[in-house]
Amino acid sequence: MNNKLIDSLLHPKESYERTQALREAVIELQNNSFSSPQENVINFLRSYKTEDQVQAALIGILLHRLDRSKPPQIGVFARLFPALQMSWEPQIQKMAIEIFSGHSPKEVFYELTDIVALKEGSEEDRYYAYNVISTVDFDSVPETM
Amino acid sequence: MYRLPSQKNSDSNKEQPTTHSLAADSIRSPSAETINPLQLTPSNLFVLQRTIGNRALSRLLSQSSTQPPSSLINSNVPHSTPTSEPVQRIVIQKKYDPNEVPYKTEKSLIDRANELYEQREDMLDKGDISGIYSIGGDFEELKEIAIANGWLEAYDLLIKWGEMIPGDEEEEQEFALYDKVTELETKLKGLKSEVSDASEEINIIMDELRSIEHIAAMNGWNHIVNYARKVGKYTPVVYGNPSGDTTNSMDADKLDEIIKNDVPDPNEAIEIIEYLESKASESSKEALDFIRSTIDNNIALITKDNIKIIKSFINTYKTAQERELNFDKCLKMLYGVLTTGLKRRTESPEIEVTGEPFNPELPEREDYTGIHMSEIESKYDVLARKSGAPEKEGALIPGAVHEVDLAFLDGMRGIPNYRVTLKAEKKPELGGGDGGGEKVYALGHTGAINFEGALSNRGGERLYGVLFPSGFMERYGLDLRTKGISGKSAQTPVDQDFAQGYMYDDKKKTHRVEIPSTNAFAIRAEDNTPDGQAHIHFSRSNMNIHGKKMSQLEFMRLFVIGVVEFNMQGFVINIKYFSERK
Repeated sequence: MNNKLIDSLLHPKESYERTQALREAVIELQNNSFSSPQENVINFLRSYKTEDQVQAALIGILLHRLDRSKPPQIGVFARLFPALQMSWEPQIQKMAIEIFSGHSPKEVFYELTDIVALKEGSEEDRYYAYNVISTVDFDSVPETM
Repeated sequence: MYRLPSQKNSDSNKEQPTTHSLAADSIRSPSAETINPLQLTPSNLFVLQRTIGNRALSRLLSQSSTQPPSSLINSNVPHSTPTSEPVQRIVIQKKYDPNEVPYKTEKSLIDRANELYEQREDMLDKGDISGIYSIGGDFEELKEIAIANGWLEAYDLLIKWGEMIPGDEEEEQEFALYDKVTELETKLKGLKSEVSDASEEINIIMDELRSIEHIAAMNGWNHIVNYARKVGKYTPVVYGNPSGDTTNSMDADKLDEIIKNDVPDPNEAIEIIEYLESKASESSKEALDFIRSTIDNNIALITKDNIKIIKSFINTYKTAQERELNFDKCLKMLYGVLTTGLKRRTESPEIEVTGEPFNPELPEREDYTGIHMSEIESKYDVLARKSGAPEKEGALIPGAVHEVDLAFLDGMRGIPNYRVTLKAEKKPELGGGDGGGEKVYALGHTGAINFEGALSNRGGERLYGVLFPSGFMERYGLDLRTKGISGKSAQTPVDQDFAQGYMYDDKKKTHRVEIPSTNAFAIRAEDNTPDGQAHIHFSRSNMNIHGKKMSQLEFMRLFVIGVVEFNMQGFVINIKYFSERK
């Protein structure tokens, strides 16, 4: 990751600039999966809280790519959940559906409710889980993808 | 109907030959050959007739010594430029300057058209026709302005003075569409006066008018858009992309209702509590009391946080029910979710706005359609935005509703925080509305027109302005336009900065910028917005304005009076006033 991108990610002038930097980071990590970003970027991605669904989804994708050896973690699902319906961001939506493949959105929703209600998981994961259960209608969550 | 080739009321001694006879004369006439580079063939004779009028053309052809004046070649008369080699031109986009807009009202354009008409008639009376070509070109130009601004009266007049009939296939369609509205207007009048119950027929006509408006809007025929709206007096329809797909359109009121319903039903929450209370034992009384009071305190759904608390409560109950959790586990989960919701609400610092409340006197609500934005800005403070067609990766999103259409919904009050995609035969897909993101508006229409941001200039650009009471920006806006460390604009303050009353504009924290508690939002400046740009943060939910809890978005919407759509020349093409809020 180049310094300009890292700077835009960590110290953006505007929220818009950070979103753009996250988009670039997703592309960069897709093209070169062996070059992990610096520690401070990884820490930022793990700790940053945002209500912006696009930013959250991009962070979810990045965290998943950084940890490809493992199946997607609940924190990744929490950040990506709203992107399942994000038709105005078809690329992000496609990536979210790919990551969700083989998992039931309804089961994931149960799990997200549990980590909020029973105070499980990391604080950041709970933050995103609450974003999901407080904005998505449970009735509209599909059983399978 | 006025669109006949030559219907001018002239004196009996003024000749009124038909186009065809003129064409025949010109082919025989040796004088016509001297008029280069225009070859007077029947087809371009028609063009001349259309732009300078039959009387002038007749005079032209009867004067064998007439040379083509350079004004003809240089004027913008359509179709009359010699079609030799195509010329490669470098187009340099000029910055929009409202001072350079020649006609800011329909009346000023009509006055000019009348003046030109008088000039033309005077010239013809005196036998000097050297300037009539440019007058013909001017009529065409004025007509284009009238179309762009949707000025019906001016358009009708120019068609009459220019004696214009359709010049090509596209214009034939345009004229036919216009005539169709006239036909429907007549039908509608007849139905209303003669038939007691004609609601079905009226509905069919309304549908036709909406469809005409759609076609006209896609072609930029704003005069027909206005005409159809004037005849139909209906709520504008929200359209999705791609255009022309009529299955992707929806009545604005219906979409508005769907968005408004994107909040949880408070009755559902109350029913859940009543059920729990009916089943509860003494040991769960404390937990239930907490649940009851939390729901009661948030049931009004005034802020986004209220909505989130109620929604997460209902969702959690439904997940427990579907998983058949026992009563105690269900109660524990509901308790846990509500404590998280309450904690989250207090996490963002409260931004208190104090000082004398703003109680402006409002001007009378007028129809500004066709009027220049500078006129509106003399009455209201305007926040304006340019927005491109919703697209991603270079392709339009099928069915996506344009931001401008969303801005006109009652629920959005000029500031859309939702994205909507219309799906054929399905409920529209809603996005956003979750409290995230921000929107930046230019102060005044000029900043929006000249805005060069990549996302706003990819195609399908439309412009809208949100009307606030005059003085609102000055009263509540934090002016950061020259407060930055470099003397330019300071950065956007975050919630914490607003709450504490100051921020630093540099990483080393040497340049402190004060944020008085009388301010509720930031006004910054960029190169394209020297007059300023206001930042509205959808996540800025914890504000206390003159003692009332609300989000920044709710606060801004509280003061919104109306919304206008305007074109790239700064003219209003649609306006809507919202109901007053107390």
